[in-house]
Amino acid sequence: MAARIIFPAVIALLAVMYGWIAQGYPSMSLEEGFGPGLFPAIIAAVVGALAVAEVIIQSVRATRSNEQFTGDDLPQVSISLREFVATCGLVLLVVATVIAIRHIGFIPAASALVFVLSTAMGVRPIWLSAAASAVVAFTAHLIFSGLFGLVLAF
Amino acid sequence: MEPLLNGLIQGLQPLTLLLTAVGVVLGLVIAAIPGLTVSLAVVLLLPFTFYLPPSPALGMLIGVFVGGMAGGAISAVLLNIPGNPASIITTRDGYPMAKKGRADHALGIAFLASILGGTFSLLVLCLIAPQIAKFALLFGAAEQAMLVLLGLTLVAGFSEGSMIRGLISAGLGLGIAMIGLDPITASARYTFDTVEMQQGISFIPVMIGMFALPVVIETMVRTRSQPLPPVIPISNALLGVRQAVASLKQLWPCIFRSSAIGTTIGAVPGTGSAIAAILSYQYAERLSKNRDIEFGKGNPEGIAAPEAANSAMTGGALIPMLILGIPGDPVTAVMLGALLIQGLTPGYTLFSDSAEIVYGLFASFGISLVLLTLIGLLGVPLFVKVIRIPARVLMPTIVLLCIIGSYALQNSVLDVWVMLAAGVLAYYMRRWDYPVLPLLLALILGKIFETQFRMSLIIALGDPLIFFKKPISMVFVLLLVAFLVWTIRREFLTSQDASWSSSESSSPLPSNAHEEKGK
Repeated sequence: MAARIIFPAVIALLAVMYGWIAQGYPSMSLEEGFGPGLFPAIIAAVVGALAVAEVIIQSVRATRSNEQFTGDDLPQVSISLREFVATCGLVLLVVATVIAIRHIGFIPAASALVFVLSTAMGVRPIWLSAAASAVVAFTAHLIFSGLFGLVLAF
Repeated sequence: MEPLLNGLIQGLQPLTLLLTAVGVVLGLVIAAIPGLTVSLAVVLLLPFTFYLPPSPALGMLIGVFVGGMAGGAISAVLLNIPGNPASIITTRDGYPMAKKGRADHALGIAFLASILGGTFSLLVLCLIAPQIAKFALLFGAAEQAMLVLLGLTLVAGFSEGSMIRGLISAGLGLGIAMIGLDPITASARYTFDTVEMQQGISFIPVMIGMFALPVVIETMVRTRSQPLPPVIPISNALLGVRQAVASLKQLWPCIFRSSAIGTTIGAVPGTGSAIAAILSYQYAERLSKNRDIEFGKGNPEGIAAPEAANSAMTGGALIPMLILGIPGDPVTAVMLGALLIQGLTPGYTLFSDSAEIVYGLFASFGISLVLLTLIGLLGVPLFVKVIRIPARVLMPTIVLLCIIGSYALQNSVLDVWVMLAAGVLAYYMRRWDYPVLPLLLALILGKIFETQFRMSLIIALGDPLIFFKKPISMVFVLLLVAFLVWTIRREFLTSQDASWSSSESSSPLPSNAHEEKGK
């Protein structure tokens, strides 16, 4: 339940910061052509108000749910450790791949990415996973670099 | 007639024809594999379109769309697992029919209904779209601004979760769209004094990340899930088609009605194919005269209705995307991206200046349906094998394509980071019931909305009543207010019902009630 309150609260906070930055841009007069600050200020105000409304709605629901079970109001929304690890793992892997492409080239780095990910997802046997990874990386290079002329140097 | 013929010539060009066929096959295969969706297939093919001329690029995407809508039925019938959200309702009658040893017949009905539904929506598209496009000529800055606002609100209101969350999502998209140079004065906003950010956040990497990475993360999280149930074997696909054709006499009212529902629902931004399928199933259940077999136990109309509707949705969804630049669902959002990358702007000018491309798209749509008939029906034994492929085997390749695809747009590593951030954000937004389509749509339309909104105010010398003084703009505002009131009332009544039912029963709902609601 906490995530349902924390997420809109974070958005409300971001909206305040967004609106505050928008104050630094020339804004509202006709002489200034309804400047670049007008629209961001409107967006910040609307999103901020909606986010605060959502925080209030979810807080009320949370209070009610402590009093009585309300059936479908309470799906499991907490982040499991498994989800957190999967997300962080994927982010790290992509970042590492982009950095590796700069140093060791596209095919080895992409092969490593596909191999690590497929092994983590339970593809067995390992040798098959490794061979398939090399084929996938080589084919991607062949299509994008060879056929389309994309420089995969990152 | 001449533009249609020119379009047909475009559609029959060897490269366009080949890529349309590739699209249909990929759509069928990807939608048939449980866990992979049509929007994922389309977004993964998007980077390839950067290097293609417009007609082959759009032909490939429409091929995926048509093939994907039909392909979802394969796993729905043979595995009881919907290949895409639109096929959820197909499982109710498709799987029971297959379990009775009539899998061939069930698949035959599903494909036939898909082909007829798609054909119906194509005809509507060809007849109506050019007429509405002429009407869109009357739109000035105020009308366009209010139209975009109405489109965003519709998408936010019809998306999953509450409308407030949909609107917050749209607001986030608009906020991100403001990053970069202001479209009127060219002042830098939210760029943090970096040159890279001055171009703004491109919606292509955001789209790739938001549609593809959540699927990867979900698959990673449930890697060690239960194995798939056994696939029900099929004996003779062609016999199934013959049986389906024979039963057409009884099914045609249902297919025609469902096609009309699918096309209409598809034309309303944000509604989606699942709603079209469910609504047409409900109508079929209510109005059916074929009650030899109960609905939910293998009634042929229970398969024909959702499949005709979800295929008919394709043509309907193209109407607002091509004419107004407002995509109705994720797939047309990607197609809009493909159009913009090709330097084409949706609207009436598209129909006048680039008629051969628009009618080429219509022709490719028709060709996709013909190819679906050939490939879909003859290739059923192959697709039966394909649905056994675990989605996780394909995930590493999908991640690699995401990296290349986001980088390929402008050879920028920043786009890869944007794709990654968008993917993680989309995963947790879905997890907490925030729809991602409004964000994406707002990001695509944000600059247009802002430009037209501010231009209207400048033209009206700062008078905000300009939006109420112009008749068409006024109609859009009234529709917007009516929709907001209707949605708020609907959500209020739903929450009242929920609290009433919970106070009636002190015990938790039975588990099957939750499952039913989920469907």
